Amino acid sequence: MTSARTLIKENLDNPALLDDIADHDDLIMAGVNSGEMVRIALACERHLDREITDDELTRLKSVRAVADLLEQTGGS
Amino acid sequence: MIGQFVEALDQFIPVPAEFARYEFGLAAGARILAVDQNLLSAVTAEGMPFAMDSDEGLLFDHVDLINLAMFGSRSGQSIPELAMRYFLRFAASPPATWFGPREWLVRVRTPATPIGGDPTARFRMQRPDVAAPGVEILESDAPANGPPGYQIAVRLTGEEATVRDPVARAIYEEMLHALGSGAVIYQTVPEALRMDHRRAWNLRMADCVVVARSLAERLNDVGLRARARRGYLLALVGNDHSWCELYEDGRWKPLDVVFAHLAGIEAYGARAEFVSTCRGSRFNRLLPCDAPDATALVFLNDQPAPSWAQVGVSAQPWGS
Repeated sequence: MTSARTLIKENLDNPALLDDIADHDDLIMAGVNSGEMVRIALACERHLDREITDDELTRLKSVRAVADLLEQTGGS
Repeated sequence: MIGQFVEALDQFIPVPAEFARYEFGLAAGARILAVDQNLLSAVTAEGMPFAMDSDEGLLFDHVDLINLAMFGSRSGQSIPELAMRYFLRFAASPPATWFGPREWLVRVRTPATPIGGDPTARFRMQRPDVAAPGVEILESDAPANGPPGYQIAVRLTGEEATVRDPVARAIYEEMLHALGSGAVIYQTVPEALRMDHRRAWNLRMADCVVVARSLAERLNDVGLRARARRGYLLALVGNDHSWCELYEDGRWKPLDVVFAHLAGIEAYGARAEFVSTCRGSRFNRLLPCDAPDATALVFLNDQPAPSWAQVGVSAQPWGS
């Protein structure tokens, strides 16, 4: 979960926003904007070294979901 | 790098002065472009439209900045370019996934912080059209916490179909060719100019709203029954999208010139068959809203919200 939080934080205009977001909170409803979501998705692709599928993109809505995706390479 | 941004100034149509809102400063503009402020200053000297404020200095229109990023970046890595790729990723999936019933949890919220520091700013959002074909409401509620908004669980069912009418097909193909040939440039258009879609088209600038309204008008002009729709494309985030619908064979068939145009661009990775599917089929990830004639989805103090005052739209599989 730590590396998922780090990845998300690095892609927020206001990184402190993440401190108030719980693992299962909806990132967008918590104030993350669409540009930041795009940067998070791109960072996940770079971490995984592959394109994220459409199904994975639609599920990428929380810290927990980002961690689950990153776990595919053993580093959440 | 400056050269590609200067060249981009000739590749899109700047917002006409009477529709422009010069509200973004040099620092904010440079962030959108992901470039140094000096570079944006240099591009301004080469023709990027601006206004000069005695206190704030150079000010730019948000739509011009987005278009400059889209046409000037050429890296494939700017936010507008990446967003387009992610929005269209479903078009690379097997066609069977485009139509079957799919259950979504959609949450919509107003911006978390007051616009321009104005705590009295009032937002109004058009709600989903739950009477539209293929839309079935499963659950509806307001989010428990946070800024005003709504959440809705819906089952969206697509339908594979083809528009048969030869006149409608000819007009559709003509507009698709106009975008593909560059006779009309597919780019971001400000909301006020979207509502003056004939003027936008004549200025050679069009986005999905301009195209949908123009196509519906042209179809109606030749005696066919058509309408422009607007709602959300459900993907990484919910994205404002507009399309046209033609009434044929006792039902509304979508005509999505913009999807077909974008699917023809190799970088977005859409399947070849996606292009023809845009001429009559309904996708299971387009949520239409109550926005007659594709008018705005979001209003700020009873006026269509500017492009930078975006609501947050989250969409994910329901029950996940």
